[in-house]
Amino acid sequence: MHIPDGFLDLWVCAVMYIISAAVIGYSAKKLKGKLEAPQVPLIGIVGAGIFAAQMLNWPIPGGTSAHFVGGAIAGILLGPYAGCLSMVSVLTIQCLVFGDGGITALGANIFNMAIVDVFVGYGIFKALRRYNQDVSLFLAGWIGIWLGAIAAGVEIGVSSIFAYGLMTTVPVMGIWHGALGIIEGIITMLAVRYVLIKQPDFVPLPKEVRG
Amino acid sequence: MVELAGTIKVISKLLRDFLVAEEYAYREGFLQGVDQKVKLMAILLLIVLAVSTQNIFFLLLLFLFSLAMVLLSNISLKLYLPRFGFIPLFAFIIVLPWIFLIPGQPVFTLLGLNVTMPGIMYVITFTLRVTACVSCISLLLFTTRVSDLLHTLKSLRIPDPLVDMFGLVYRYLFTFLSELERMLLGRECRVISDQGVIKNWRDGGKVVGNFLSRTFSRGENVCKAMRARGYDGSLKTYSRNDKIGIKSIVFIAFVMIMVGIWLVTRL
Repeated sequence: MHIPDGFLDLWVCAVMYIISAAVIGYSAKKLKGKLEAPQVPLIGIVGAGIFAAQMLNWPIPGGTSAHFVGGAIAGILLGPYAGCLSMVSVLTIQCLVFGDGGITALGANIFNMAIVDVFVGYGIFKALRRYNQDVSLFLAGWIGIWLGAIAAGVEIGVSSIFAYGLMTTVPVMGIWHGALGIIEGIITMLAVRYVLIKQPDFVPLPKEVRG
Repeated sequence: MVELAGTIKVISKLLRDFLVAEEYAYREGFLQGVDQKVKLMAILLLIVLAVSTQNIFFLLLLFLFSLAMVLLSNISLKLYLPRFGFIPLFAFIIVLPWIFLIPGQPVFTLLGLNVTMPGIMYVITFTLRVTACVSCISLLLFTTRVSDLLHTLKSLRIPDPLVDMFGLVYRYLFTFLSELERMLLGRECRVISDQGVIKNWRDGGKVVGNFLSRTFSRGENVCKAMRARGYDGSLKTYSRNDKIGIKSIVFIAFVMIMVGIWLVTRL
């Protein structure tokens, strides 16, 4: 889901950089004063863990395999603001050190995977947890990544540099990631449930940070 | 259960690609000697130029320029080109149907459909643009040490906590990849028969959950260790060369020539 350079118009890149920078700034502001300085590295270290877990190959019918993004997991376990910053760190290192995703498209990639995925995932979990925890975790993972993919479809679709229009890019990204997102939902549900059951007393960050 | 062979293959590829790039970043070469801030800004500028032009000549020239920089920087083309070859190929396949879809003068007929000249030009332009962009950013990956990159980001006024997080993601990624590999191998050793899809997926979820728990525990320990060593919210970064030397000036001149050509193609 990483958009490379050359797929987005310059104005789309600029708009996405501005929006992403604003959300990152807001997230940092919300955490200011709530985190002690030594807790800041934890966000980066959890990011490294999520990055490593993204390498896992999940077999799917048809002989192929899928990877998960982990934005919803970051949002649920660290809280939306710290989760967002954690995913921003992952995506920036992926872009500047490993060449995954373009440097002009970094703002868009951050918006899709570190903002939409994290905040939507967290919001769904928070809203539905009281009814059924497993269902809320599954929907958080699924819908988070699905809306992130649709956002990517919109960004590519409005770019004149890419000949396919919105009517093609949004359904293609929506249908494909709507199906792949089910895997993200299942992994989110299984993994977070394990953490919550096995270590109910362990919280990586204070409650006021996690929200 | 997650696919062990596939996962280890992905991890190995990531590490191999990184180690190849890292090895070149430590060698002597033209771009390795350019000031990191100049290099980062210049490469970003070149990519912006590529994204904002439709001129095939400029895009081809930019790609050739990046290859010339590769050779000047003592990087093997055999290792450089395969590193990013997949992305232009992917871009080419995605836009290929437009050779039929863009109306214009037919050049020849394929499968009963007219292949048009504007269609061919669009597909070539798009693929070339993506190739030039990916080649330019690969220059950065192959010629920049991560420690220098972090120092450059700090000197570009990216907030300290954010750059520290970038550094920690990089620093602990390899530790976690080894841990993940060990966990998967351990799990594989203990399983003697296939237990069906649902049980396998459930076990896979537990592995990820367990891995995340270990991540948090390790993160907490690292934070305590950092606090004990006097971490106050900002990690110190170092750079090899902070001065703009002759290589930087020559590189700026090359980039200015590219900007000049871009301006001429806009007229």
